[in-house]
Amino acid sequence: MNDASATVLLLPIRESDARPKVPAGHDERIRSLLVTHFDFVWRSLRRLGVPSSSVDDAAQEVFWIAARKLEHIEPGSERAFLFAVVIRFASDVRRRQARNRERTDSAALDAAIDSHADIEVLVDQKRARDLLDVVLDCLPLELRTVLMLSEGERLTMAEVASLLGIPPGTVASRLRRARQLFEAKVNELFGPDRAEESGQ
Amino acid sequence: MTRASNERMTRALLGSFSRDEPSAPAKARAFAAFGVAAGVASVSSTASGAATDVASAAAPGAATVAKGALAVGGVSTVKALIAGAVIGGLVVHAGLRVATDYGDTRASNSPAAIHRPLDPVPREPALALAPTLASAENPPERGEVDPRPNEARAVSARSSPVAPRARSRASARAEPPSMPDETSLAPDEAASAGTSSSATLTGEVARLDRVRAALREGSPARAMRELDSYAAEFANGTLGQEAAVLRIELLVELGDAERARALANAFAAAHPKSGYMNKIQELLARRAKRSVR
Repeated sequence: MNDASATVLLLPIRESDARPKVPAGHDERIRSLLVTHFDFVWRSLRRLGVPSSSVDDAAQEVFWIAARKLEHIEPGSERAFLFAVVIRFASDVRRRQARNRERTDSAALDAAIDSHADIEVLVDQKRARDLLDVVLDCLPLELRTVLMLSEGERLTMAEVASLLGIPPGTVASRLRRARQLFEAKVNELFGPDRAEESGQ
Repeated sequence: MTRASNERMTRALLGSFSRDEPSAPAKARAFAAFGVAAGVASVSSTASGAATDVASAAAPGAATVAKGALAVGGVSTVKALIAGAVIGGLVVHAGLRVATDYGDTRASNSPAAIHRPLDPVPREPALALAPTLASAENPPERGEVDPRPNEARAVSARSSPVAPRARSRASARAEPPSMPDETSLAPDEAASAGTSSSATLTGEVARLDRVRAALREGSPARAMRELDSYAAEFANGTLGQEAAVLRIELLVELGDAERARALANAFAAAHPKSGYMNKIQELLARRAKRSVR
C-alpha cells in the first residue's frame, strides 16, 4: 500500500470535513475521478471480498473519502489513493466476516457446486463467479489483491507494484504464492473424485 | 487428467472475474450523489427542472445498459436501469430537501447519508457527463444519449431500442413531485410506488425474473412454460427483446438448435442494431460448443 495514502486515510474525519465545501474546480476533479475510476473501484471492492449487496454503497463511500481528502491526493496518484481506500474497506469487511466465515464458506460452496460437476456447464454459469469468491476467500488479502489486479484487471507486475507502492519483486513473489494457493484450493475443492465424475 | 481438469477449472474461475461490473443504478446513484444532486439542490427547485436532471442522472446508467446486458443477461439489467432512474429521482429529491438543512453532518455509511450534495455553489448540471460516458463505453448506436426533452423522447419511445425506452418510462415515472423521501428504498419497493404503466413494466420484469430463476435452477422446461405465460400476458410487452433473447437461450438449453437459430435470425432481422446481438451470438456459440462435445 502506498504509505502516504495510508497515512492520510488514518487522519480522523472531523465534523468540518464532512460538510460539503469542496472549493471551485475540485468538483470537476471529483467528476473526473468518478468517470475514470468508478468501475475500477467497484470491481476492486467486489473482487476483494466486499459482498455484492454492499459494493454499491462502499464504492460511493470510497469517493466520499476521496472528496474530503482531495488536497492530499497528488495529481497522477488518484488511482493509488482510491485503491488504498478500497483495500482498507476490504480489510474491514474481512475482519467483520472472519467469525462466520466457515459457515458461509460451506453454504456458498454447496450452493455453488451442488449438482454441477461438469466444468463446461460451470464455465457457462454465474456460479463460477460465486465459486471464485469461495476460493479467493481462502487467500490472504495481500495475495488476493495482486491476483485480482493481475488476473482481473490485467495489470502488469510493474503496474501492480506502482499501484501498491511495493517493489516489483514483492509483487512477483506474491503473485506466485497466490497462484499456488489458488490452485491448491481448487485441487482441494475439485479433487480427483469430482474430476472423474465429470468424465475428464 | 485430473490435473488438466483442475487447471481448466482454475482458468474458468479466474476468467469469471470478467463478470464484475457495477450495475447501472450504482453508477447513476454515485454520479448523481456527486454531481447532479448538488446542481439541483441549488439551481432547480421546480418539478420540471428536477425531472430534467433526473433524466441526466439516469443517463450514465442508460449508457451502460447495453454493455451490462451483454455481460449478465438482459432482464435484470433493464430492471436495474429502471431502478437507477428511480433512485436518481430520489437522490434529486433528497438534494432539494438537504439544501434546507445544510449544517447536518454525515453520520453513517447508509445510502441516505451518502446522498449529500457536495457543493452548494450553482453550477452546470451533470449533462456533460452523460455524453462522456456514452462515448467512452459504447458504440454510437447503443450509447446514444438523447438530448431531446422528455416529451419528445416519450413520443418516440416505442420505436427506440430498449434502453432509451426504459429510460424514458422511468424518467416519466420520476416526475411526480410527491416522491417519498427515503433514498434507501429497495429497487422493488421504489418500482412498485409508480404509475400503472410502470406497474405493468414491473410485472413484466417480475415474470421474466421467474423465467431466469427457473433457468438458473436448472429447469429449462419450467422456464419455457414461464416464458410462454409471459408472452401470453404481455403480447406487446416492453421487454419483448429480452423475452426473445431468453427464448433463444432456453432453446439452446433444451437442445433445440434449429429453432434457436431460426429465432435468432428473426431477431436479427427485426432488430439489427440491438445491443443483444452479441449476447445472441454468444448463446449460439455456446450451443455449437455443446454439440461438439
